[in-house]
Amino acid sequence: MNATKDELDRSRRQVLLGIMIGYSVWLIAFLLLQDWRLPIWIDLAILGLGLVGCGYWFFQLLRMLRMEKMLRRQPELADAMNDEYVQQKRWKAWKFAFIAILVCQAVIILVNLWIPFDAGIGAQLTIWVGVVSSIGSFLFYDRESEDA
Amino acid sequence: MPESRLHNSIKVQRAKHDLTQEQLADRIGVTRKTINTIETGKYVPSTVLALRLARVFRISVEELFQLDETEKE
Repeated sequence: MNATKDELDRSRRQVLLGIMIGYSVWLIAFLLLQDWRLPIWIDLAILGLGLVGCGYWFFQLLRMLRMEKMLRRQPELADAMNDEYVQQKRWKAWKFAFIAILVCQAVIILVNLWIPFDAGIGAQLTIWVGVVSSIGSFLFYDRESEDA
Repeated sequence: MPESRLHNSIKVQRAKHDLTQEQLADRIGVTRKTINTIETGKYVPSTVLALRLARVFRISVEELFQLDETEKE
């Protein structure tokens, strides 16, 4: 059962990292495709890259759903994968993300005083900071200890 | 005020009972990573988890976890 637990733990990390990377690539491409007046071939290249990121993001979401479905059939394994230490790391990651979102909002408001930009971009950036800071900090807290 | 530090003898008990971190994790329903962080003192488990660990080794929680108090300078 533990080989499965270790494998699942690795898969969970891969899925989370994949979601973070895929979503980031898609969002950065989306932001670059705003009215920057870039040559068309650059726009197309960015669009292609964004679609690849979006595809990768969806692929990882599907993996996550498949993992969840499998865990629903094995409640004991699901409990072990969501033990109190994992819950503590998740809670710490949420706290970190909450502060990151507040800081991001403050920065956006300050920048907007000098360079006004679309509210939609501000909202997208805030969501991106929320996703990256929560997943990134969870992965950081969840990293394997060196003195095993 | 005294500064408290929690020590544990999980590694010793594991060796005594010939259990790997994986096997111990299976017995108490957590991940191996959790056992590793408790063992190295990076994570202080809940009372429930401490009792479960003590039960596996058939000893009391006080025998498994010791509070080392030193005076803070």
